[in-house]
Amino acid sequence: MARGSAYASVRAGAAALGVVACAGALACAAPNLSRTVGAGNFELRGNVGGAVIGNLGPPVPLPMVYVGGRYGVRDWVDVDGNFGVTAATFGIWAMDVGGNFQLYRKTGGLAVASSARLYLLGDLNDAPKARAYPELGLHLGGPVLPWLHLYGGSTLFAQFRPPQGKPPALLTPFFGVEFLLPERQGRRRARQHGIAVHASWTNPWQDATSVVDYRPGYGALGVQLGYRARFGGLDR
Amino acid sequence: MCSLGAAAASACLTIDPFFFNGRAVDGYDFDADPPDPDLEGELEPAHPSRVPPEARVEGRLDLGDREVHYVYAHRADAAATVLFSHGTTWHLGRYWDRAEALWERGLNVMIYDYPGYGLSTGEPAEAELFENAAAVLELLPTLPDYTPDRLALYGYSLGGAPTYELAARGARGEAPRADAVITEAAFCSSEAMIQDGTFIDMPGSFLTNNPFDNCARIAELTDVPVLILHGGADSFVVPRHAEMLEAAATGEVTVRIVPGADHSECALVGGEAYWQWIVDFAAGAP
Repeated sequence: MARGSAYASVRAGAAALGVVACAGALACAAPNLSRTVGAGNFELRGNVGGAVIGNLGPPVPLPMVYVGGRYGVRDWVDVDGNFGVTAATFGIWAMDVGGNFQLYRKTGGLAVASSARLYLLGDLNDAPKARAYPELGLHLGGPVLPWLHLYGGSTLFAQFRPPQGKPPALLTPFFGVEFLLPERQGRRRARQHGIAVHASWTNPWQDATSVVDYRPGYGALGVQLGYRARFGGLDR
Repeated sequence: MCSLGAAAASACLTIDPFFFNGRAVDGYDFDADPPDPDLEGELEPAHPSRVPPEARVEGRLDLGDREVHYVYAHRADAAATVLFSHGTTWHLGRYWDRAEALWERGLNVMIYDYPGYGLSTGEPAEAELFENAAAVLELLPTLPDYTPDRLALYGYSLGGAPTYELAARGARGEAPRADAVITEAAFCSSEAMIQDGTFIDMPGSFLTNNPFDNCARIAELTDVPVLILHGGADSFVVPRHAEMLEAAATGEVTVRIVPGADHSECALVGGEAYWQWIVDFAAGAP
Protein backbone atom coordinates (compact mmCIF):
# COMPACT_ATOMS: atom_id res chain seq x y z
CA MET A 1 0.00 0.00 0.00
CA ALA A 2 3.08 2.25 0.17
CA ARG A 3 1.36 4.19 2.88
CA GLY A 4 4.54 5.66 4.26
CA SER A 5 5.51 7.39 1.06
CA ALA A 6 1.98 8.46 0.32
CA TYR A 7 1.78 10.29 3.60
CA ALA A 8 5.35 11.58 3.65
CA SER A 9 4.35 15.19 3.20
CA VAL A 10 1.70 15.24 5.88
CA ARG A 11 3.95 13.38 8.26
CA ALA A 12 6.60 16.00 7.68
CA GLY A 13 3.99 18.60 8.50
CA ALA A 14 3.33 16.80 11.72
CA ALA A 15 7.02 16.99 12.47
CA ALA A 16 6.69 20.73 12.11
CA LEU A 17 4.06 20.64 14.80
CA GLY A 18 6.55 18.96 17.02
CA VAL A 19 8.83 21.91 16.53
CA VAL A 20 6.19 24.16 17.94
CA ALA A 21 5.48 21.73 20.72
CA CYS A 22 9.09 22.01 21.71
CA ALA A 23 8.78 25.75 21.57
CA GLY A 24 6.33 25.64 24.40
CA ALA A 25 5.61 22.75 26.58
CA LEU A 26 8.12 20.06 26.11
CA ALA A 27 10.93 21.39 28.22
CA CYS A 28 13.33 21.80 25.38
CA ALA A 29 15.30 24.66 26.84
CA ALA A 30 16.22 23.50 30.31
CA PRO A 31 19.97 23.67 30.90
CA ASN A 32 21.90 23.01 34.11
CA LEU A 33 20.49 25.54 36.53
CA SER A 34 21.56 23.91 39.76
CA ARG A 35 24.01 26.72 40.53
CA THR A 36 23.22 30.40 40.31
CA VAL A 37 25.91 32.43 38.58
CA GLY A 38 26.52 34.86 41.44
CA ALA A 39 25.91 38.58 41.77
CA GLY A 40 27.08 40.58 38.77
CA ASN A 41 28.03 37.50 36.77
CA PHE A 42 26.26 36.29 33.66
CA GLU A 43 25.95 33.34 31.35
CA LEU A 44 25.13 33.01 27.65
CA ARG A 45 23.95 29.73 26.20
CA GLY A 46 22.62 27.92 23.18
CA ASN A 47 20.86 24.59 22.90
CA VAL A 48 19.97 22.40 19.97
CA GLY A 49 17.63 19.44 20.12
CA GLY A 50 14.16 18.64 21.30
CA ALA A 51 11.46 16.03 21.46
CA VAL A 52 12.24 12.68 19.88
CA ILE A 53 9.80 11.91 17.07
CA GLY A 54 9.45 9.17 14.50
CA ASN A 55 7.49 10.99 11.82
CA LEU A 56 10.38 11.09 9.40
CA GLY A 57 11.53 7.49 9.88
CA PRO A 58 13.99 6.58 12.62
CA PRO A 59 13.46 8.36 15.94
CA VAL A 60 15.36 11.63 15.95
CA PRO A 61 15.27 14.69 18.20
CA LEU A 62 13.77 17.76 16.62
CA PRO A 63 16.41 20.34 15.68
CA MET A 64 15.15 23.09 17.93
CA VAL A 65 17.55 25.93 18.53
CA TYR A 66 17.28 28.05 21.64
CA VAL A 67 19.46 30.91 22.77
CA GLY A 68 19.34 32.38 26.21
CA GLY A 69 21.16 33.64 29.21
CA ARG A 70 20.97 34.65 32.82
CA TYR A 71 22.33 37.33 35.08
CA GLY A 72 23.05 37.15 38.77
CA VAL A 73 21.17 39.89 40.60
CA ARG A 74 22.21 38.39 43.93
CA ASP A 75 24.59 35.60 44.73
CA TRP A 76 21.53 33.41 45.21
CA VAL A 77 19.21 34.79 42.56
CA ASP A 78 19.45 34.87 38.76
CA VAL A 79 17.13 36.35 36.18
CA ASP A 80 16.92 34.03 33.22
CA GLY A 81 15.47 33.95 29.72
CA ASN A 82 15.42 31.92 26.50
CA PHE A 83 14.27 32.56 22.95
CA GLY A 84 13.23 29.90 20.45
CA VAL A 85 15.02 30.47 17.16
CA THR A 86 13.49 27.57 15.25
CA ALA A 87 9.97 28.45 16.30
CA ALA A 88 10.59 31.99 15.08
CA THR A 89 10.98 30.64 11.55
CA PHE A 90 7.32 29.64 11.85
CA GLY A 91 6.44 33.16 12.88
CA ILE A 92 5.97 31.97 16.46
CA TRP A 93 7.48 33.92 19.31
CA ALA A 94 8.44 31.32 21.89
CA MET A 95 10.32 32.68 24.86
CA ASP A 96 10.50 32.33 28.56
CA VAL A 97 11.54 34.64 31.34
CA GLY A 98 12.01 33.82 34.97
CA GLY A 99 14.35 33.44 37.85
CA ASN A 100 16.48 30.85 39.60
CA PHE A 101 16.82 30.70 43.35
CA GLN A 102 19.66 28.89 45.10
CA LEU A 103 18.25 26.72 47.87
CA TYR A 104 21.44 24.97 48.91
CA ARG A 105 24.98 25.10 47.71
CA LYS A 106 28.23 23.57 48.86
CA THR A 107 31.39 24.79 47.21
CA GLY A 108 32.68 22.00 45.01
CA GLY A 109 29.70 19.85 45.98
CA LEU A 110 25.97 19.50 45.70
CA ALA A 111 23.84 22.47 44.70
CA VAL A 112 20.07 22.72 44.68
CA ALA A 113 18.08 25.48 43.04
CA SER A 114 14.48 26.18 42.22
CA SER A 115 13.23 28.05 39.19
CA ALA A 116 10.05 29.87 38.24
CA ARG A 117 9.44 31.05 34.74
CA LEU A 118 6.73 32.15 32.39
CA TYR A 119 6.59 30.75 28.89
CA LEU A 120 5.18 33.13 26.33
CA LEU A 121 3.91 31.90 23.00
CA GLY A 122 2.57 34.26 20.42
CA ASP A 123 2.17 35.29 16.83
CA LEU A 124 2.32 39.00 16.10
CA ASN A 125 -0.25 38.47 13.36
CA ASP A 126 -2.60 37.06 15.95
CA ALA A 127 -1.51 38.85 19.11
CA PRO A 128 -4.79 38.54 21.02
CA LYS A 129 -4.36 34.79 21.08
CA ALA A 130 -0.96 34.87 22.77
CA ARG A 131 -0.54 32.32 25.50
CA ALA A 132 1.35 32.32 28.78
CA TYR A 133 2.21 29.24 30.80
CA PRO A 134 3.87 29.13 34.22
CA GLU A 135 6.53 26.59 35.04
CA LEU A 136 8.24 25.65 38.28
CA GLY A 137 11.44 23.68 38.46
CA LEU A 138 13.76 21.93 40.89
CA HIS A 139 17.39 21.47 39.88
CA LEU A 140 20.12 19.45 41.56
CA GLY A 141 23.70 19.08 40.45
CA GLY A 142 27.26 18.68 41.43
CA PRO A 143 30.72 17.66 40.25
CA VAL A 144 31.87 14.06 40.10
CA LEU A 145 35.18 15.30 38.68
CA PRO A 146 36.35 18.90 38.38
CA TRP A 147 35.49 18.83 34.68
CA LEU A 148 32.42 16.62 34.84
CA HIS A 149 29.15 17.62 36.45
CA LEU A 150 25.97 15.63 36.71
CA TYR A 151 22.63 17.30 37.14
CA GLY A 152 18.97 16.39 37.25
CA GLY A 153 15.60 17.50 38.43
CA SER A 154 12.14 18.17 37.15
CA THR A 155 9.94 20.94 35.85
CA LEU A 156 6.17 21.31 36.16
CA PHE A 157 4.51 23.21 33.31
CA ALA A 158 0.87 24.28 33.62
CA GLN A 159 -1.78 25.19 31.09
CA PHE A 160 -5.12 26.61 32.11
CA ARG A 161 -7.18 25.42 29.13
CA PRO A 162 -5.78 22.03 28.16
CA PRO A 163 -7.00 20.56 24.87
CA GLN A 164 -9.30 17.56 25.03
CA GLY A 165 -7.32 14.51 26.03
CA LYS A 166 -4.32 16.50 27.20
CA PRO A 167 -3.37 17.19 30.83
CA PRO A 168 -3.35 20.57 32.56
CA ALA A 169 0.17 19.95 33.84
CA LEU A 170 3.25 18.54 32.17
CA LEU A 171 5.87 17.07 34.47
CA THR A 172 9.29 16.75 32.90
CA PRO A 173 12.03 14.93 34.79
CA PHE A 174 15.45 15.53 33.28
CA PHE A 175 19.02 14.41 33.64
CA GLY A 176 22.20 15.78 32.16
CA VAL A 177 25.94 15.47 31.96
CA GLU A 178 28.02 18.61 31.62
CA PHE A 179 31.65 18.77 30.56
CA LEU A 180 33.42 21.89 31.79
CA LEU A 181 36.59 23.40 30.48
CA PRO A 182 38.94 24.88 33.09
CA GLU A 183 38.02 28.34 34.30
CA ARG A 184 40.24 31.04 32.79
CA GLN A 185 40.85 34.53 33.93
CA GLY A 186 40.05 37.08 31.25
CA ARG A 187 40.96 40.74 31.25
CA ARG A 188 37.87 41.70 33.19
CA ARG A 189 36.47 38.52 34.63
CA ALA A 190 36.82 34.76 34.73
CA ARG A 191 35.32 32.66 31.94
CA GLN A 192 34.26 29.09 31.75
CA HIS A 193 32.75 27.08 28.90
CA GLY A 194 30.59 24.01 29.25
CA ILE A 195 28.97 21.48 26.95
CA ALA A 196 26.02 19.45 28.20
CA VAL A 197 24.09 16.45 26.97
CA HIS A 198 20.58 16.74 28.32
CA ALA A 199 17.76 14.18 28.35
CA SER A 200 14.20 14.79 29.47
CA TRP A 201 10.92 12.93 29.50
CA THR A 202 7.65 14.83 29.62
CA ASN A 203 4.73 13.02 31.27
CA PRO A 204 6.23 9.54 30.91
CA TRP A 205 2.93 7.91 31.85
CA GLN A 206 0.82 9.74 29.29
CA ASP A 207 -0.43 8.24 26.05
CA ALA A 208 1.24 10.48 23.49
CA THR A 209 -0.58 9.13 20.46
CA SER A 210 -1.14 12.00 18.09
CA VAL A 211 -0.29 13.25 14.65
CA VAL A 212 3.20 13.87 15.99
CA ASP A 213 4.80 10.46 16.49
CA TYR A 214 6.43 10.99 19.88
CA ARG A 215 8.68 8.19 20.94
CA PRO A 216 8.35 5.88 22.72
CA GLY A 217 4.62 6.60 22.58
CA TYR A 218 4.23 7.50 26.22
CA GLY A 219 5.06 11.09 26.99
CA ALA A 220 7.72 12.85 24.98
CA LEU A 221 11.38 12.06 25.27
CA GLY A 222 13.74 14.92 24.63
CA VAL A 223 17.45 15.03 23.84
CA GLN A 224 19.53 18.19 23.60
CA LEU A 225 23.07 19.35 23.22
CA GLY A 226 23.82 22.54 25.08
CA TYR A 227 26.68 25.00 25.23
CA ARG A 228 27.18 27.77 27.73
CA ALA A 229 29.77 30.39 28.48
CA ARG A 230 29.80 31.72 32.00
CA PHE A 231 31.41 35.03 32.77
CA GLY A 232 32.42 35.91 36.28
CA GLY A 233 33.65 32.80 37.94
CA LEU A 234 32.09 29.96 39.83
CA ASP A 235 31.42 29.04 43.41
CA ARG A 236 32.78 32.20 44.84
CA MET B 1 6.48 38.85 12.64
CA CYS B 2 5.15 38.49 9.10
CA SER B 3 3.59 41.93 9.12
CA LEU B 4 6.88 43.45 10.13
CA GLY B 5 8.45 42.19 6.96
CA ALA B 6 10.91 40.03 8.74
CA ALA B 7 14.26 39.90 7.08
CA ALA B 8 14.54 36.17 7.23
CA ALA B 9 13.09 34.65 4.10
CA SER B 10 12.12 31.60 6.06
CA ALA B 11 10.00 33.53 8.53
CA CYS B 12 6.29 32.95 8.76
CA LEU B 13 6.32 29.33 7.72
CA THR B 14 3.03 27.60 8.25
CA ILE B 15 2.07 23.98 8.11
CA ASP B 16 -0.44 24.72 5.34
CA PRO B 17 1.61 23.11 2.55
CA PHE B 18 1.65 19.92 4.53
CA PHE B 19 -2.14 19.58 4.52
CA PHE B 20 -1.98 19.02 0.81
CA ASN B 21 -0.11 16.21 -0.88
CA GLY B 22 -1.37 16.47 -4.44
CA ARG B 23 0.19 15.39 -7.71
CA ALA B 24 -0.69 16.58 -11.16
CA VAL B 25 -1.25 13.97 -13.87
CA ASP B 26 -1.58 14.10 -17.65
CA GLY B 27 -4.74 12.03 -17.57
CA TYR B 28 -6.34 8.91 -16.19
CA ASP B 29 -6.57 5.89 -18.51
CA PHE B 30 -9.31 4.04 -16.65
CA ASP B 31 -9.61 1.12 -19.08
CA ALA B 32 -5.95 0.53 -19.90
CA ASP B 33 -4.48 -2.94 -19.60
CA PRO B 34 -1.81 -3.00 -18.32
CA PRO B 35 -3.37 -0.57 -15.94
CA ASP B 36 -2.54 3.11 -15.56
CA PRO B 37 -0.19 3.43 -12.54
CA ASP B 38 -1.96 6.66 -11.61
CA LEU B 39 -4.90 4.46 -10.64
CA GLU B 40 -2.92 2.73 -7.91
CA GLY B 41 -5.41 2.75 -5.07
CA GLU B 42 -5.16 2.79 -1.32
CA LEU B 43 -7.21 -0.40 -1.22
CA GLU B 44 -6.32 -2.22 -4.43
CA PRO B 45 -3.47 -2.31 -6.93
CA ALA B 46 -4.03 -0.50 -10.21
CA HIS B 47 -6.47 -2.36 -12.44
CA PRO B 48 -8.68 -1.71 -15.46
CA SER B 49 -11.79 0.07 -14.25
CA ARG B 50 -14.73 -2.04 -13.21
CA VAL B 51 -16.97 0.89 -14.04
CA PRO B 52 -17.40 0.57 -17.83
CA PRO B 53 -16.89 3.61 -20.07
CA GLU B 54 -20.61 3.93 -20.76
CA ALA B 55 -21.25 4.33 -17.04
CA ARG B 56 -18.68 7.08 -16.62
CA VAL B 57 -18.87 10.78 -17.25
CA GLU B 58 -15.57 12.62 -17.08
CA GLY B 59 -15.29 16.35 -17.48
CA ARG B 60 -13.99 19.68 -16.30
CA LEU B 61 -15.73 22.69 -14.86
CA ASP B 62 -14.39 26.15 -15.58
CA LEU B 63 -14.31 28.26 -12.42
CA GLY B 64 -12.65 31.20 -14.10
CA ASP B 65 -9.22 31.10 -12.53
CA ARG B 66 -8.99 27.33 -12.60
CA GLU B 67 -10.63 24.11 -13.72
CA VAL B 68 -12.15 21.31 -11.68
CA HIS B 69 -11.80 17.81 -13.01
CA TYR B 70 -14.41 15.23 -12.08
CA VAL B 71 -15.46 11.67 -12.82
CA TYR B 72 -19.02 10.51 -12.29
CA ALA B 73 -19.92 6.81 -12.18
CA HIS B 74 -23.63 6.24 -12.65
CA ARG B 75 -26.18 3.50 -12.96
CA ALA B 76 -29.88 3.49 -13.77
CA ASP B 77 -30.85 1.60 -10.63
CA ALA B 78 -28.85 3.76 -8.21
CA ALA B 79 -30.24 3.93 -4.70
CA ALA B 80 -28.49 7.24 -4.01
CA THR B 81 -25.97 9.65 -5.45
CA VAL B 82 -22.79 10.11 -3.45
CA LEU B 83 -20.42 13.05 -3.71
CA PHE B 84 -17.12 11.60 -2.57
CA SER B 85 -14.36 13.92 -1.33
CA HIS B 86 -11.06 12.09 -1.21
CA GLY B 87 -8.06 12.17 1.10
CA THR B 88 -5.01 14.34 0.78
CA THR B 89 -2.85 11.92 -1.15
CA TRP B 90 -2.04 12.56 -4.82
CA HIS B 91 -5.37 12.80 -6.70
CA LEU B 92 -8.66 11.06 -7.35
CA GLY B 93 -6.91 8.14 -9.05
CA ARG B 94 -5.68 7.07 -5.64
CA TYR B 95 -9.31 6.71 -4.51
CA TRP B 96 -10.95 5.44 -7.68
CA ASP B 97 -11.10 1.97 -6.14
CA ARG B 98 -13.43 3.35 -3.45
CA ALA B 99 -15.65 4.94 -6.08
CA GLU B 100 -15.78 1.63 -7.94
CA ALA B 101 -16.70 -0.26 -4.80
CA LEU B 102 -19.61 2.06 -4.07
CA TRP B 103 -20.77 1.99 -7.72
CA GLU B 104 -20.69 -1.81 -7.71
CA ARG B 105 -22.90 -1.74 -4.64
CA GLY B 106 -25.59 0.30 -6.30
CA LEU B 107 -24.67 3.97 -5.89
CA ASN B 108 -23.88 6.80 -8.25
CA VAL B 109 -20.53 8.26 -7.26
CA MET B 110 -19.07 11.66 -8.10
CA ILE B 111 -15.36 12.06 -7.39
CA TYR B 112 -13.30 15.14 -8.19
CA ASP B 113 -9.75 16.44 -8.00
CA TYR B 114 -8.84 19.14 -5.49
CA PRO B 115 -7.08 22.29 -6.75
CA GLY B 116 -3.62 21.34 -7.97
CA TYR B 117 -4.44 17.64 -7.74
CA GLY B 118 -4.71 15.30 -10.72
CA LEU B 119 -6.25 17.18 -13.62
CA SER B 120 -7.62 20.10 -11.61
CA THR B 121 -5.68 23.32 -11.86
CA GLY B 122 -5.04 25.96 -9.21
CA GLU B 123 -3.38 26.02 -5.83
CA PRO B 124 -4.72 23.98 -2.93
CA ALA B 125 -6.20 25.90 -0.03
CA GLU B 126 -9.34 25.57 2.04
CA ALA B 127 -11.48 28.12 0.21
CA GLU B 128 -10.53 26.82 -3.23
CA LEU B 129 -11.08 23.23 -2.17
CA PHE B 130 -14.57 24.11 -0.95
CA GLU B 131 -15.31 25.95 -4.20
CA ASN B 132 -14.33 22.88 -6.21
CA ALA B 133 -16.60 20.72 -4.09
CA ALA B 134 -19.49 23.17 -4.35
CA ALA B 135 -19.13 23.35 -8.12
CA VAL B 136 -19.43 19.61 -8.65
CA LEU B 137 -22.32 19.46 -6.18
CA GLU B 138 -24.17 22.06 -8.26
CA LEU B 139 -23.41 20.04 -11.38
CA LEU B 140 -24.75 16.74 -10.06
CA PRO B 141 -28.47 17.26 -10.85
CA THR B 142 -27.61 17.74 -14.53
CA LEU B 143 -25.87 14.38 -14.84
CA PRO B 144 -27.40 11.06 -15.93
CA ASP B 145 -29.23 8.86 -13.43
CA TYR B 146 -28.98 11.46 -10.66
CA THR B 147 -31.25 10.59 -7.75
CA PRO B 148 -32.97 13.87 -6.80
CA ASP B 149 -34.57 12.36 -3.74
CA ARG B 150 -31.36 10.88 -2.29
CA LEU B 151 -28.06 12.74 -2.07
CA ALA B 152 -25.26 11.69 0.25
CA LEU B 153 -21.97 13.44 0.98
CA TYR B 154 -19.06 11.20 1.85
CA GLY B 155 -15.57 12.37 2.77
CA TYR B 156 -12.45 10.49 3.69
CA SER B 157 -9.78 12.09 5.90
CA LEU B 158 -9.13 15.58 4.48
CA GLY B 159 -12.30 15.03 2.43
CA GLY B 160 -14.26 15.32 5.64
CA ALA B 161 -13.74 19.08 5.44
CA PRO B 162 -15.53 19.76 2.13
CA THR B 163 -18.13 17.19 3.15
CA TYR B 164 -19.07 18.95 6.38
CA GLU B 165 -18.78 22.35 4.71
CA LEU B 166 -21.21 21.43 1.90
CA ALA B 167 -23.57 19.77 4.37
CA ALA B 168 -23.58 22.91 6.52
CA ARG B 169 -24.21 25.10 3.47
CA GLY B 170 -27.10 22.82 2.60
CA ALA B 171 -28.48 23.14 6.10
CA ARG B 172 -28.31 26.93 5.73
CA GLY B 173 -30.05 26.78 2.37
CA GLU B 174 -26.94 27.90 0.50
CA ALA B 175 -26.41 24.65 -1.43
CA PRO B 176 -28.31 21.49 -2.35
CA ARG B 177 -29.33 19.81 0.84
CA ALA B 178 -27.79 16.43 1.66
CA ASP B 179 -29.92 13.57 2.94
CA ALA B 180 -26.98 11.83 4.59
CA VAL B 181 -23.43 12.73 5.58
CA ILE B 182 -20.66 10.17 5.97
CA THR B 183 -17.10 10.83 7.00
CA GLU B 184 -14.26 8.42 7.53
CA ALA B 185 -11.04 9.15 9.44
CA ALA B 186 -11.98 12.83 9.57
CA PHE B 187 -10.46 15.27 12.04
CA CYS B 188 -12.23 17.78 14.26
CA SER B 189 -10.32 20.81 13.03
CA SER B 190 -6.84 21.95 12.11
CA GLU B 191 -6.57 23.48 15.55
CA ALA B 192 -7.52 20.21 17.21
CA MET B 193 -4.84 18.45 15.16
CA ILE B 194 -2.29 21.06 16.18
CA GLN B 195 -3.22 20.81 19.84
CA ASP B 196 -3.13 17.04 19.63
CA GLY B 197 0.41 17.27 18.36
CA THR B 198 1.71 20.01 20.60
CA PHE B 199 0.12 18.91 23.92
CA ILE B 200 -0.88 22.51 24.59
CA ASP B 201 -3.74 24.90 23.78
CA MET B 202 -1.87 26.39 20.84
CA PRO B 203 -4.21 28.51 18.70
CA GLY B 204 -4.51 26.93 15.28
CA SER B 205 -4.19 30.30 13.60
CA PHE B 206 -0.55 30.48 14.69
CA LEU B 207 0.31 27.77 12.22
CA THR B 208 -2.35 27.55 9.57
CA ASN B 209 -4.64 29.69 7.45
CA ASN B 210 -6.88 26.67 6.81
CA PRO B 211 -9.13 26.15 9.84
CA PHE B 212 -10.97 23.12 8.38
CA ASP B 213 -13.32 23.41 11.32
CA ASN B 214 -15.33 20.22 10.91
CA CYS B 215 -16.49 20.31 14.52
CA ALA B 216 -18.10 23.71 13.95
CA ARG B 217 -19.76 22.54 10.75
CA ILE B 218 -21.15 19.30 12.18
CA ALA B 219 -22.77 21.40 14.90
CA GLU B 220 -24.89 23.04 12.20
CA LEU B 221 -26.36 19.73 11.03
CA THR B 222 -29.36 19.61 13.29
CA ASP B 223 -31.53 17.45 11.05
CA VAL B 224 -29.14 15.67 8.69
CA PRO B 225 -28.05 12.19 9.81
CA VAL B 226 -24.30 11.75 10.08
CA LEU B 227 -22.26 8.55 10.03
CA ILE B 228 -18.77 8.86 11.50
CA LEU B 229 -16.39 6.02 10.61
CA HIS B 230 -12.95 5.78 12.16
CA GLY B 231 -10.19 3.24 12.50
CA GLY B 232 -9.70 2.17 16.09
CA ALA B 233 -5.93 2.08 15.51
CA ASP B 234 -5.69 5.24 13.42
CA SER B 235 -2.22 6.57 14.20
CA PHE B 236 -2.57 9.65 12.05
CA VAL B 237 -5.95 11.12 12.91
CA VAL B 238 -6.36 9.46 16.26
CA PRO B 239 -9.81 8.11 17.21
CA ARG B 240 -10.20 10.96 19.69
CA HIS B 241 -11.19 13.11 16.71
CA ALA B 242 -14.23 10.91 16.09
CA GLU B 243 -15.19 11.49 19.71
CA MET B 244 -14.74 15.24 19.28
CA LEU B 245 -16.93 15.25 16.19
CA GLU B 246 -19.59 13.23 17.97
CA ALA B 247 -19.45 15.57 20.94
CA ALA B 248 -19.80 18.62 18.71
CA ALA B 249 -22.75 17.23 16.76
CA THR B 250 -26.25 18.52 17.46
CA GLY B 251 -28.19 16.11 15.29
CA GLU B 252 -28.46 12.38 14.78
CA VAL B 253 -25.01 10.80 14.72
CA THR B 254 -23.90 7.20 14.34
CA VAL B 255 -20.29 6.37 15.17
CA ARG B 256 -18.71 3.18 13.97
CA ILE B 257 -15.16 2.39 15.02
CA VAL B 258 -13.36 -0.33 13.07
CA PRO B 259 -11.15 -2.08 15.63
CA GLY B 260 -7.54 -2.49 14.59
CA ALA B 261 -7.81 -0.32 11.49
CA ASP B 262 -5.21 2.37 10.85
CA HIS B 263 -5.92 5.58 8.95
CA SER B 264 -6.49 4.10 5.50
CA GLU B 265 -7.52 0.63 6.59
CA CYS B 266 -11.19 0.82 7.57
CA ALA B 267 -12.27 -0.77 4.32
CA LEU B 268 -9.53 -3.38 4.39
CA VAL B 269 -10.20 -4.39 7.98
CA GLY B 270 -13.96 -3.85 8.00
CA GLY B 271 -14.55 -5.82 4.80
CA GLU B 272 -18.02 -6.12 3.38
CA ALA B 273 -19.63 -4.89 6.59
CA TYR B 274 -17.85 -1.58 6.16
CA TRP B 275 -19.17 -1.11 2.64
CA GLN B 276 -22.65 -2.08 3.72
CA TRP B 277 -22.62 0.56 6.47
CA ILE B 278 -21.86 3.20 3.88
CA VAL B 279 -24.28 1.94 1.24
CA ASP B 280 -27.15 1.55 3.71
CA PHE B 281 -26.54 4.95 5.26
CA ALA B 282 -26.22 6.69 1.91
CA ALA B 283 -29.36 5.02 0.61
CA GLY B 284 -31.31 5.64 3.79
CA ALA B 285 -31.93 1.97 4.36
CA PRO B 286 -33.55 1.21 7.72
